[in-house]
Amino acid sequence: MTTIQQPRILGAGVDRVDGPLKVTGQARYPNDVNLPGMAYAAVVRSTIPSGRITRMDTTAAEKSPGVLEVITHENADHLGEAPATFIKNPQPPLQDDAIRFYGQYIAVVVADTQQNATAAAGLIEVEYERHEAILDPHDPRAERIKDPWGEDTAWGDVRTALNRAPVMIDQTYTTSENTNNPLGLFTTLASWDGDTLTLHDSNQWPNMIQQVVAAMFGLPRDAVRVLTPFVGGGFGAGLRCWSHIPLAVMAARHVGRPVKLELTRPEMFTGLGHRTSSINWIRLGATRDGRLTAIEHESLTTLPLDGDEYEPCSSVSTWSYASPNVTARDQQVRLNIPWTNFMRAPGDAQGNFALESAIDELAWEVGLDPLEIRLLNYAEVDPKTGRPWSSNALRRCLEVGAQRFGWSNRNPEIGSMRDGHELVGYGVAGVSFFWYQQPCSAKVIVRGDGSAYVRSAVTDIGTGTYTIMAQLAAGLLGLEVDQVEMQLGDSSMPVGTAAGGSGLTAALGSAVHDACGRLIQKFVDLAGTDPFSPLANVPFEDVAVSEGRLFRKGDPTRGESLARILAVHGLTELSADGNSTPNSPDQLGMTPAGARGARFVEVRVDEDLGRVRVARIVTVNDGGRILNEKLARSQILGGTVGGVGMALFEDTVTDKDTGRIANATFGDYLIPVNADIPDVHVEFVGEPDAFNPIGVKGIGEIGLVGVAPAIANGIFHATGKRIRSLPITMDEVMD
Amino acid sequence: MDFLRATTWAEALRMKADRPDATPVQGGTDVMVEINLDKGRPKALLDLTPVAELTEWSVESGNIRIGAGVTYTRIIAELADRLPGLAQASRTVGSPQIRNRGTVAGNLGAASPAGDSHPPLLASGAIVEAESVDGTRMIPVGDFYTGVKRHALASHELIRAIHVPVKRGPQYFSKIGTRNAMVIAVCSFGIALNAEDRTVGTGIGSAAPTPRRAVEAEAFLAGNWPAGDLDPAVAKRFGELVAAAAAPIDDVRGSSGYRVHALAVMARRTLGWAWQELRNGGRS
Amino acid sequence: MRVNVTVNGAPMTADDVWPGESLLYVLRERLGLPGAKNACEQGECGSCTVYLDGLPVCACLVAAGQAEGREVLTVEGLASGEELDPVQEAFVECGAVQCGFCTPGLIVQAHSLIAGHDGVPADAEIREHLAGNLCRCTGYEKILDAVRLAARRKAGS
Repeated sequence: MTTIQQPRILGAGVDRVDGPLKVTGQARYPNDVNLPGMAYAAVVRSTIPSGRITRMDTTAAEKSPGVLEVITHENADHLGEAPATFIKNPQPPLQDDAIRFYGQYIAVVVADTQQNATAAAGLIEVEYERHEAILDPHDPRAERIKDPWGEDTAWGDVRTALNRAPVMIDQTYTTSENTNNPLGLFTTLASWDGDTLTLHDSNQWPNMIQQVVAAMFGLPRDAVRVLTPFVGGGFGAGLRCWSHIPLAVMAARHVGRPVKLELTRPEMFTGLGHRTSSINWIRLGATRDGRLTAIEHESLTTLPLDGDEYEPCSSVSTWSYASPNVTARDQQVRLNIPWTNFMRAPGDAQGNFALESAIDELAWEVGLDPLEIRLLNYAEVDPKTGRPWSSNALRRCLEVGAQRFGWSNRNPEIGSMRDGHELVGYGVAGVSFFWYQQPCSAKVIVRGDGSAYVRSAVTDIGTGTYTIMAQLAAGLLGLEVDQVEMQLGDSSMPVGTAAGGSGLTAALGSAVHDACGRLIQKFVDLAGTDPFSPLANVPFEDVAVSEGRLFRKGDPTRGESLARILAVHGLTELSADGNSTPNSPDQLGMTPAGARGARFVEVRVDEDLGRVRVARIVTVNDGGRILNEKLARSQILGGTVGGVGMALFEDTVTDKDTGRIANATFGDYLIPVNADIPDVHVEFVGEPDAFNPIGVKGIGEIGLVGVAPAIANGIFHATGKRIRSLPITMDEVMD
Repeated sequence: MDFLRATTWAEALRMKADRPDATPVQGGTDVMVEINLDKGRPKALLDLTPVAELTEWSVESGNIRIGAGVTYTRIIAELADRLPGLAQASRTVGSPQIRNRGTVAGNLGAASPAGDSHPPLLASGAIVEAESVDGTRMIPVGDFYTGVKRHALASHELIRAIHVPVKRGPQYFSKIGTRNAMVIAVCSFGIALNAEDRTVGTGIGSAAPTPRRAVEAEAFLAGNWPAGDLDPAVAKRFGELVAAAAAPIDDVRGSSGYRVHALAVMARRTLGWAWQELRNGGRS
Repeated sequence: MRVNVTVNGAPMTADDVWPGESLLYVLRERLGLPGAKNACEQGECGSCTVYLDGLPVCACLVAAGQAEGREVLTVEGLASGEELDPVQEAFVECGAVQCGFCTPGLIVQAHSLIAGHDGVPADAEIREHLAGNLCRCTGYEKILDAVRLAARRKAGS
């Protein structure tokens, strides 16, 4: 049982198992749940970016119709410290009078209806002592943190290599703040029953919410149950225990009723973090024929006053291309801003834009086709360690993509491909995504009728975890997909990891794989002890499984169904726990490679107005073994749309004087609509990856990466204008 | 907050006279946004959707009299041949769901400089029919906008209808936005040529505190009325004069410099289309 | 105030409705019909799309009192029993669903396109009709596939 024995349903386009619930409106998201006696909460947020509260008058709010409770720092419960999970969580809200950013929660109002709570929230009077806020990353007063994760990397001698390089690119690339903006408004519905607490909560990691809330409220972990069977998207927004969660819990305790706290869209901009802006300084050294001799990549990203964040923008430069001399360094700067946080492809999205723009500039500088320069510098082995990759089909991605796109039709001359008043440009970018995996566990149970269920506390944020894990378990147990019932999104189930970092499929899949192996072993052992079983005394290695039956390899007639084995032994069910931990690169002697990809984009630029239209996209990706091509395609398509948004539209604008986010609605923060997205051709290449037993490489994020530089590179081909900042605006294209 | 439900126009006028603080609501596409996002709570909502006579349009002495309850969807479906400028602008309003509810009267009531219907209304010389228990006032649309989100209605008046002259020549509308749909205008422009008396109408959106005409550009073009090929110098000058009439600001949607530039481009382009249509004898 | 409205064929009454409340809030919080979703509260995302007297609208922009005496059809009312509407079926088959939060609004809006169309709408028409429904997961392409499939099936039947 060390390899997947039944590949027939892996990779096939099985329909999403949660589809019917979702298309009929029956799937219950956290904000869809209503409980008897439930009250509603509304938050009050600070209107200065730095300072302290000197006075709060809640009299009018308390007298407002329907109001049950008003909680400020003056009457809030004292809560325990929020533990770090793999990264810091915000410390409990309302514990002091300090204001660290515009939009910080300073009160919560509970009332009988949402409207009454919101109306009362508006009646709270606040006076502040204002302190000078630091909002500009270049402000010399701001605290700078060098090498924040101890991951700064250097090999070779970049200085000397750059000095000697016949060709050098030395440019700065910037990206703006973006906001995750999952469609689903994050909601916490908190309900106390004595000393136990149930949360219906929007998040990407129920066990993390459970752990943090338990610590804050001084409860044993198993006194807190977090239910997240469905969540309306996350894109990273659900990877921390945000402050509205303890607020809802506290409010429910104060009023002795269940309390629902649903964030509004504007509150989603300040309350759930956002993708940091970034500044990337890149220097490339190369030979005249375009071979890289040095890469120096430094980045500066932002942090809130009291948080941390992992956004190693420069790290893409350590594994994307072969170079004998590399330096990659990151810095962070603390500002009076709302929390920065993971957003689909943290660090990679920004760093890849910088690196792939610079590589493109190098191609033009040395007169090489932008596709060729990427093939030329392909890293056959991990350039840092010299170890082989667990798999790396970047070259194949580029080659297949170029063919599908018709790259050979490209006229290399700038501005040469015109259509009416539109200039046509072709752009390409390569993508080498990070690798990430955390420990995870699952339980697999076979019931008396031979069907199975799989349990884990992880949640499916829409990626398809319910479906692919049902497929995987079905394949490993020799069942049909509809014989496997999935139970996810409940912290009381076996401890699971985050639906994040493109790491869940490998982590949970390996745990399910382990559990299924152990379970089959148990069945084989049981059968082996039954002298009447056709499998008596057949060793585990000689047993295969298919159609709900165990049988002797090479002799399918000699076998017994799982259901019969249970019946014979008087069992109603048999279960096994499975665990997974990432393998060790040292032990395997290889470097685990994340997914790889290539983007080819045709842009059309209105030369009078500077409007950029994306006309078509080809995106080819290496995700190792693809468990369900239909769902995998969707991941890539959705990521592509995020990439178009990052390239052309998305920009969380903070007012330079007040620290207020100036465009915190869907009317003003633009995400791509249907009409902005052209035909997108998605294709998968590559082989099962060697680093985990199921051969997968996560693809939840990679689809986004590389789209922005491919667009920017296409704009250069169309217009000769090199845009080094995102999003690319009409103003800049015309400038 | 009170909810006033008018079932007839006469009742609506009485209610508005009694409750001048009531905010009239039709499609809700502006009023409800304000309430939902808690930007303000009116003392009362005056629901006009049950008033049947508002949902009708009629032809009156060369004008279409569009009832205040006629939705964008219906303008597109029923009036595109006679009011092409307004219909084009209506097609760019929000989404189908918004157009199924939103009305031109609501656009006027909100008086946002970015409202899509303003440029074609200005370009074609529309007149707002305002009514109260005291009687009816006919307000030329150019006088209707009095400031950012401010208009000329008295507190006891309601918009009964908008009178828009039936086309007497080519009409075009152009709007720039960042996205390809669901666009709040970065800036917009409408042009209406009156081939009968050789006059020109223009309207600029989202590039000044209020929607406004480009009066000098209109006079210039009327004095250089189309004959033969469009002289690029005329188009260029027309564009410059349109741009000069704007007074835009920088905001999250675009810079003032870009708006001025884009207005000139849109003016030239829409003029080109209109000129072509004139030469084709009215076919676009 | 009291609001009487027919939802999915059944007469319903909501009491103590605040006059500034939206139809969406009444459906979700008072009538136990959370199918239509709340995501932007300003008509920008289409997640709350329902039929109001036969026309698809954003329920968040309809004042509750405006629905008095009218007929509302939500995503919950499209399937007949266990049998999915062809649009719902096509969304599942084509992989047009991911997190599923925008799905109910898209289903209703797509349903309205196909209901008013005899053949298979052109891509431009589909895109235009669905312009106001934001999706951040699927990338729209499979939604177009689903609409085409549902329309083909309807035209063929």
